Amino acid sequence: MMDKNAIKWLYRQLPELVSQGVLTQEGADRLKQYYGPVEAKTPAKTLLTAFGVIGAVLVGLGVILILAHNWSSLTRVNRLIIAIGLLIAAQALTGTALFFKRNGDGWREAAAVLHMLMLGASMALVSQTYHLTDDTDAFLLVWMLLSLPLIYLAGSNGVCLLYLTGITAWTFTSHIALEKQLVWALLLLALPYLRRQLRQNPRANATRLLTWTLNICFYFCFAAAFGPYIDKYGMLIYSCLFSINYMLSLQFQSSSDPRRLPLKIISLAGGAGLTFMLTAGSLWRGLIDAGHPGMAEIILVTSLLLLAAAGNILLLRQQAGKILTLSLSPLIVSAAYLLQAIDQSGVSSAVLMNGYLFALSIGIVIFGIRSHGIALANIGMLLLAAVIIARFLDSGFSFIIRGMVFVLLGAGFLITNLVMTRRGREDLE
Amino acid sequence: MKKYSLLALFLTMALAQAAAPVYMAWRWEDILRTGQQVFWQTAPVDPYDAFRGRYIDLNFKNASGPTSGNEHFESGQTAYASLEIRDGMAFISGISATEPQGIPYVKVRVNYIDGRTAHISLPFKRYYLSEHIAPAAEAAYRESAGRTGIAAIRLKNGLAVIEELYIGDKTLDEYLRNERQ
Repeated sequence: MMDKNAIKWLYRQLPELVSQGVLTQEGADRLKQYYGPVEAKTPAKTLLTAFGVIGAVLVGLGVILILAHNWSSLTRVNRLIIAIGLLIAAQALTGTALFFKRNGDGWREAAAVLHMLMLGASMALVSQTYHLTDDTDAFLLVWMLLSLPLIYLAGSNGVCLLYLTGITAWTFTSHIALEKQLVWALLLLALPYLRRQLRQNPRANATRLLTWTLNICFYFCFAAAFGPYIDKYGMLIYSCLFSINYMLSLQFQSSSDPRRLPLKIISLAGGAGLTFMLTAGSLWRGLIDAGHPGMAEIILVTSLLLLAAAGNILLLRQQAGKILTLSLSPLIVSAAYLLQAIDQSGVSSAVLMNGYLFALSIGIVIFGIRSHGIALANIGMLLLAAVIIARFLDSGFSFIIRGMVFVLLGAGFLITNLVMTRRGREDLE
Repeated sequence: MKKYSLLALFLTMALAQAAAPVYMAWRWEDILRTGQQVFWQTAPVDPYDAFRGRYIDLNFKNASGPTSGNEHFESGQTAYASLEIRDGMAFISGISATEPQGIPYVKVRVNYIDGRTAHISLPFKRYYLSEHIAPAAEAAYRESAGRTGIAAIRLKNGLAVIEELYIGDKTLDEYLRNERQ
């Protein structure tokens, strides 16, 4: 299915193509018939929904503030009635939007978000009445679980976004490491809705926002849930995650598919950032102080390595042998860990990671130039510059080693430049 | 989804949501009405941290207790503080991982272990105030905390809720009214 913007572009070209004789009018009409009409853009729709949600939230907060002014003069029973009353009013609004304004997306979205916020507010008001403070994790969990049905009944993207953020926050407030694993079940509960949005509305702004939020929340939840178990192999674990993230992005075949972008950007940014950190020798030297990994960490790193390896094998078959540098990062990082076990000074591991980041940066620059992706080429140059500056200033390597490496690299660039220039001249002749 | 199914599901969800704050209020109201009253001595507070607008963060003396040698506690773990009541004042006699039977106790969270002593976080840490009296209450509480400041607590089945803050024998409100006169 052709991109909507591409179809619009094509339709804009048709009059000129017809006037230049490239296409007949009949051919142009048949093209229009084939691709169908393009909906007139309703820039107001997203804006209306957003303004509706903001307006509803402000009204709700304003009501709470006005009540708060007289709160201390109210009895506990009065306070409870007001707290429940706010919630029931919000429920009535959502019910009205659902049953009497089914086609009013803006109304439905605003009402659902206000409903979720009033639910939290009513529980918070009762907590304040009884001076309760100790149960932030229980409060968040109950709030999110009670809001979950609203995602499906109201079909609200706003509630889904708040839900993802809420369960992520809960993971950090929960005190017991084993209890935090419940977050994966909480994420799974929202997955059917997210899947439906990705399939039915892949290009909607809300869907893009949901994809970004889900991907970012996943990393925060992972850090909170598995943080207590991760020590020595943390870098390898995250390397596997970013690699898997990258491979998932490639499942969306078209490079212009908006569902691909968040996965790709997060994996590139995370993977490149992590690799940059691993180029520092001090990090590898510091691993000497790390204790023996626990069983949980061993299981985690083994499972992720196997998953990354399986993904790479599948990808190599799909891409007919083309090597994708970023997806291989767990292999390089594993090799660096092995080197560190042999050479505990960290120099060998750091040299390997520097070489990998160097190759990765150059690969991104070349890919960017070939595909006319200036942004990508610039990102590659930026990475290259960052690693060069970092190593130039790195006192972990001696002057002579740094000097020799820089001379060799510079010579390599100059020779490559010379060879490519000569080839260019030969092609012209 | 059919309209009647949607309505039934929506009403079920609405009832469950309304039940949450009602249940919370019922549970704590029951403790306030039928729970055992004990008094807990307040401890000095950091003047810069304790006051955040409309509430006071409370600090208490007797916020630690001995553990039995057999139980191992982790930071953040839920535990139970057995209480000894002397002249109405509560003192922690022991910290255990299981609920004690036959004696008053409160559900707490372990902060850290120091040898055989567990330092715990009590569930009643904050007292909400009207914004009008907050500045005066701030000064009064800071002066009295650790000396004459006492919190009245209601306990039931390990759950505890603050009933009132006292300075000497007067509630915080009465004390402030006297000061104004």
